[in-house]
Amino acid sequence: MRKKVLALFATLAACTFAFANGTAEKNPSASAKQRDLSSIVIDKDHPVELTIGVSSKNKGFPEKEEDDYVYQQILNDTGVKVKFQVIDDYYTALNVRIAGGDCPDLFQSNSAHMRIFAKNGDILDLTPYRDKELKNLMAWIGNTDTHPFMVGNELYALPKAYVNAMTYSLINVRKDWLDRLGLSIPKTVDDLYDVAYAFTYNDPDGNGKNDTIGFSGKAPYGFETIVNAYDTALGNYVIIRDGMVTNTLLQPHMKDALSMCKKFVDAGVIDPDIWTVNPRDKAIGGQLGMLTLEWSVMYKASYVKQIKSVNPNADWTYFGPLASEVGAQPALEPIDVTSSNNFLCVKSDISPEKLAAVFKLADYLVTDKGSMLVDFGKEGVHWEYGADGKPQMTKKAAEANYVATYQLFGREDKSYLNVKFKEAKDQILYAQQMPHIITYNSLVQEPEDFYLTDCNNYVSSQLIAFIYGQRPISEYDDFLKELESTYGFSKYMQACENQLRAAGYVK
Amino acid sequence: MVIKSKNDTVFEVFVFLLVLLVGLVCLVPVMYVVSVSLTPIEEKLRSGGFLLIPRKITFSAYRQVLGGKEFLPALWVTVKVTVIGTFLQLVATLLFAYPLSRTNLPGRKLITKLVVFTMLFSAGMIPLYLVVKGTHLLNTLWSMIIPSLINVYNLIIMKAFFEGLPGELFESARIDGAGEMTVLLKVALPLSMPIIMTIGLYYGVEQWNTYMRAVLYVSKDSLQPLQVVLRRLLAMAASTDILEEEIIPTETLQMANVVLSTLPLVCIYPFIQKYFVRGTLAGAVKG
Amino acid sequence: MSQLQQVNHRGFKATLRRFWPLYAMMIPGAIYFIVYKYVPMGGLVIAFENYLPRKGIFHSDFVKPLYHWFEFFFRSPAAKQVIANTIIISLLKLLFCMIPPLLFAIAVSESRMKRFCKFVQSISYLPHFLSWVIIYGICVAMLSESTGIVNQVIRNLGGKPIPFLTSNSYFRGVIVGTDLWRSLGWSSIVYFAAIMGIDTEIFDSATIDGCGRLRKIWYITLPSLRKIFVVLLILQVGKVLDAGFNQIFVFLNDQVRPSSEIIDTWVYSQGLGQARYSLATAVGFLKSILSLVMVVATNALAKRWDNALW
Repeated sequence: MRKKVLALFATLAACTFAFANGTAEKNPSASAKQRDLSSIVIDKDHPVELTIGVSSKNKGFPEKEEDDYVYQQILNDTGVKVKFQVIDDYYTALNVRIAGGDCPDLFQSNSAHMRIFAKNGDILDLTPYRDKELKNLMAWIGNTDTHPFMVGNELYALPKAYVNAMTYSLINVRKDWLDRLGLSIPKTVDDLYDVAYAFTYNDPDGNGKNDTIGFSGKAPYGFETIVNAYDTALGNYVIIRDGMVTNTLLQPHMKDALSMCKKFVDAGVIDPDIWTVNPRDKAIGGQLGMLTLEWSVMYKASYVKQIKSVNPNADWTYFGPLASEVGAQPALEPIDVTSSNNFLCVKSDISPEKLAAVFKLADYLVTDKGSMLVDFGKEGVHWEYGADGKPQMTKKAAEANYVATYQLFGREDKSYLNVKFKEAKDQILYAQQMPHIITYNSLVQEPEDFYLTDCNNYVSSQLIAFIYGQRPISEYDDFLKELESTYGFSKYMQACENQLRAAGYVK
Repeated sequence: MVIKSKNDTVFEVFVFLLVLLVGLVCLVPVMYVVSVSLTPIEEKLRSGGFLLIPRKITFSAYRQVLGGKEFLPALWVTVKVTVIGTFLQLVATLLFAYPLSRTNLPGRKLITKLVVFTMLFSAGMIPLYLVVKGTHLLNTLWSMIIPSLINVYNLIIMKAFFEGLPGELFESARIDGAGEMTVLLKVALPLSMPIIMTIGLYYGVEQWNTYMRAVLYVSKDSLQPLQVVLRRLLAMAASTDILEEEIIPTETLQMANVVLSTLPLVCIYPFIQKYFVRGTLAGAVKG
Repeated sequence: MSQLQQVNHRGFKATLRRFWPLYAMMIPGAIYFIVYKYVPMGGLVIAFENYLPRKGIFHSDFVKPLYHWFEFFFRSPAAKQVIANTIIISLLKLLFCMIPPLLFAIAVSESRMKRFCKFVQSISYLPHFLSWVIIYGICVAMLSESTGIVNQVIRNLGGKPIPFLTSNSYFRGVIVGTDLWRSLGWSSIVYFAAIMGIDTEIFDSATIDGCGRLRKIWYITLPSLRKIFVVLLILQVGKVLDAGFNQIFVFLNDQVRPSSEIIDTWVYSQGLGQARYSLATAVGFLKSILSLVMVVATNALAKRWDNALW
């Protein structure tokens, strides 16, 4: 028995080591050594398979490769077999697979995770290929900022086009309610307050009941629209003003902005469920008169149809950004130009053949032929050239919804949207011209001993306390002192400044 | 049968109210789930949110889920995992719990401690993944069963039950010359059908809802169980693009998913419930 | 200890000869526990490393000092609040979610309206089949401040709407309440099974002796449920530092974070999902040790009533 126990433990120990060793990286160098790929031939007769880890495929994605037109076309033109691998619970499961050595050749990531992958040596440094193999892709993304795909000076992901144009927000308002009450579209936050007040208390729907709400915004930062009028934003956002790195929390009009939010709350004209409920349902249901929301869920043809069928009288229009009494530059929504998502990283131990295939695929998808294919589908079936020489979607376009899964390197958003959503082209244009509060948080690697998540959570809870009157706004400066004494906020801001300078955002 | 006293009536009314309350509290939200899954979105939006009885009915969400080519294969995977898994889990748990319940077995306390220890200490997902990989279970049906073969919680409950059985029964069986296996099958099992059914139900439902194990250990699409496929449908619905004939919002779809995946469990339950009344029935007959 | 001595005294061979069928029965389970529980436990070493998935568990560098990740947790400005929230929510759940299933099982088994009770019993399991995401959706529909049905009723009665989901004073109540709602019927099955297992003759003789229903419940039903209740209680105490990650992760919003962020959600948010394995493993290890202490202590206490786990 004793021997058996000993033997058992010996086996146990052996097992543990066997399993653990199985995954130990034999060749952990994810170094920037360039591999020679010139001798590799990839074409229809010498196909190479690339697996691509994605969090989800688009609706209607064909089950069999035979039915997948885009797959066939790419295989035919480049010799690359693109196999998507859906990974549910994406980052959790992806990390486990990386640890087990089972991750796909390419996988989607956002900037924050990419920086961790890069630090851990999970992804390939693409800098050596930037000027040759990736030349066409780099040219295609045009003036898109490449910082979201970089760690320091190294390129760690295949860049994706036009990420910075991807904000769709508008402030939307019920035109018919405005007309009934004889009001005009708000231009300043004070106007917004007046309209919200009238929408709440003056029975804009004329049903004789006090059942309407003036204003709501996107969760979780519903008050953002109001705060943005004061050239600041609701949270810890790194910004640049007058050539200096600073933070929205330190902006001079933050207190005015919070007071304005409090005014909305005190008067009961802002949606009380702003933190928990998506306001869209309320807006469509006729309970809400104004809200900040993307054009894509308000003005696409199918959504317009839905809105009309719920309430034929509902007439939505849009505006923004708002000015304020302090005269700050109007803007709507903060957007981080150093962050992007759903772009592709290459696993660090990829074979030369597969790497060559990656470059071949990238080269193909940025050609006119390739990009039209993954934007609109099959020419003559899903789209055709119109009289004006521009592509037009046909009646069968819905069958090509799934091809968007193949938009691995982004798309030229402006022309794409105008072709696909002609009905909303005014709103699209308006949203694209909307000024934003440009932020740089994602670029910054916080100092070792700075608790960034805790700090952000603390900031959120205190801003909420100010807005809801649980803490007097006169204590705002005390709050900033607490940030310094508890978290060492200035150390963080120093790191921000250094890193933004290194990246060339400030001189 | 039994003399009804005033006390008795008060008790009966009290019990009735309590049970009724529980029933209502459990039923109302479930009705909400069902009615949302059946109500056209326009109708729901117009009514402002909460509805218990749909005024208009549409099966479009169900059609979308059931119409997908993925649904039936996924259902089949789940059925296999549930049937095989529950059986194996039940057998393994039974065979482990029974010896542990025998007070004279040397080492039983040590083994119990070692088992409870595994419930408290775990190193997380990655080490287990490596072991699952090392034992060549990845991308097999077994990866959804074997790594969670015995739930310590269920094991301890079963052990506690066996301990509660009268010891004389076992002694007399053994005096009659029965082997341990015979005692387990002929004496212990018939006496503990309610708890075996309970634990079986616990395991069965857990297997039916298998999600995380599939996400981690299975990358083949053809081997994905129902829960994974349903969630993928949901994620896909969020990518709804242009020119859709009708928009089926994720909430409606989500509720339809719940109804569809819960229905089989609800249907099976009465068969299990049969085993829960035996003791009382016998008592009632005698009384 | 005494048993081991006994074993030594009698000799392994004799013991084995007598008990081998019982040991043999445990082989499948034993293999399972060793391979899928104890072998992965070696991974706990991650807690003392700067674990990099690609380097592997036994090739990653150790952190300096070895207690780095533990220190990281305790030095976090949020640690105190997070630990307090976890313990408070767990204790509330222990207090309010353990007894009702027991009472419900007794009520259902004692009532004479068998059909009605059977029906309600089947309904009572339904909430367990709903995921927390769905339950949160239901909660919003019922409890939200402007459109929730409960607040509409309150408003119609002339009251002031209650911010159930966004107020720090109500939120823990919602967490405990929904947990009870989800688990009530499901947890009662065990007790119900236990009641079914009671020898009916004891009841009969008690009836003949003129015992009322309440007395029978008090003297027969409850004592026979005691063992299982204590066992479940001990197991539940072992989870006192969990407080239900899945539920709180779904329910949490910025407004109620101060009262409801728990250890597990904190770790999750710190680690950008799951990338900070070492921190997650270290905190998990810490929780495990505390749970072990709690379980051993409760078990020692339970031994006084002869209901212990071991």
